[in-house]
Amino acid sequence: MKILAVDDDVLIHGVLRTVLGGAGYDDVTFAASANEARTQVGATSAPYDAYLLDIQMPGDDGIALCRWLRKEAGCRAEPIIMITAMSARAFLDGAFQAGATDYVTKPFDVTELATRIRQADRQSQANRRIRDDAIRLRALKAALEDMRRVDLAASVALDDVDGALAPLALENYLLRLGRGDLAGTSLIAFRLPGITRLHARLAATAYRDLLADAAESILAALQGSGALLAHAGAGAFVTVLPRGFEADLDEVATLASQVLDDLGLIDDTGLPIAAPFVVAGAHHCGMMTSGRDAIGVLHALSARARVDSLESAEPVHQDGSRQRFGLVRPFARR
Amino acid sequence: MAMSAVLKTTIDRLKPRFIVNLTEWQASFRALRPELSGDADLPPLLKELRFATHRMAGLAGTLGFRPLGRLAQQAEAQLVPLTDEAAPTRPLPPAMLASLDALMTEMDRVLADASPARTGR
Repeated sequence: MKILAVDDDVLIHGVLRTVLGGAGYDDVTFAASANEARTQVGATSAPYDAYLLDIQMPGDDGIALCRWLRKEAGCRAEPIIMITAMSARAFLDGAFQAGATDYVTKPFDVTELATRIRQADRQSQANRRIRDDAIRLRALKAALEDMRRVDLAASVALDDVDGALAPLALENYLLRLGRGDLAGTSLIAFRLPGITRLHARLAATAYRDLLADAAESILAALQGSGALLAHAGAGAFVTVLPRGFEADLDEVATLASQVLDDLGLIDDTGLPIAAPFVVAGAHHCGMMTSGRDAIGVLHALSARARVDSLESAEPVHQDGSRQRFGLVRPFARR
Repeated sequence: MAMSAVLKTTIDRLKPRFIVNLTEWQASFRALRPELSGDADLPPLLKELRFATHRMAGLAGTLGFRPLGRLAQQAEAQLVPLTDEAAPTRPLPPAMLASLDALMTEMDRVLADASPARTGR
């Protein structure tokens, strides 16, 4: 335990050195005034674990020094023992109000002083353990976040979202559909403009949560369609609608945006996350004869949605007007 | 060496230095005591006495001069309220003067005991 003892009497330094050394504490620095103590605290690279302060000293007294240690030097939890001949109640109250942890009156009872120092040592060790645990916890959290971090372009598994599949599973589903099934199936791609900014701003966990909430919002807006969905990367979602559903796709996007907005998402700093959806493309499988054809279209929609997400905030036509998607028909399974 | 033996060695080593300090305090008290009844400015006078009694109270008991330490504490306790006053006035409390006199008597006794003639040094 590294100790700073402050007393203006060098004879006291000698006694303290012996008592502390006898109790097993040899790492003791002495200061003869509050000012000298402040200099020592400021100059040390490894912080002190405990402080022993005399009260009555020329210049600032030990109570003022104690207050400074607590409020300005960042010694919030380290034990501070006042060792003083001042036994009057006012000094006792003043010392504890300034943040002292213990109070020993001179003349020293060597055994008592050693006991108090050991108590302070236990407290100091407990503080150090708490501090070390907090540091380890922060490191673990950072490592966990790092492990969970995904590339912007990568697909994120949405395991907890009903109706959400991995892209490969969605393709396998399309492969299983026969011609009759495909005739009633539509493919729609949605994207979240500004995903690049959100990916950079959010922690990994928050980014994954955002994608899961976004997926749930799309599926909620497509409720009744039996839609299956996959995240294709870069905030792009592809959905397969296998049975009858008829709606204006821009209205679906608006509805999904509203559902997402209602969740009141905030980032780590408490700022709201605004992420309105845009329909990036849609296709009705209609006359397709195999799931492979549908997969080809799904890939094209995914790619377009990803590129739009990465390159621009809004889907625009060459003339600069915002692209609109009308109804996708027919959605009714035959 | 056991803790108590180490401490005794340290205390024995520190005692002569304390006696030197005590000699200085004795001279200082002898000079200041009459001024308490004179017309010298009281605040600095009381402050100096308080500081000396405080130092004595802190060390004397630890170094084995228990009656001296106790008397120094009592004198300091009498001086504290006076030094906290913005403008202390005469006559000073008899209890404070009596505690100073008792302390000075004990200082004389300790120094007499510690003198080379007495100790044979």
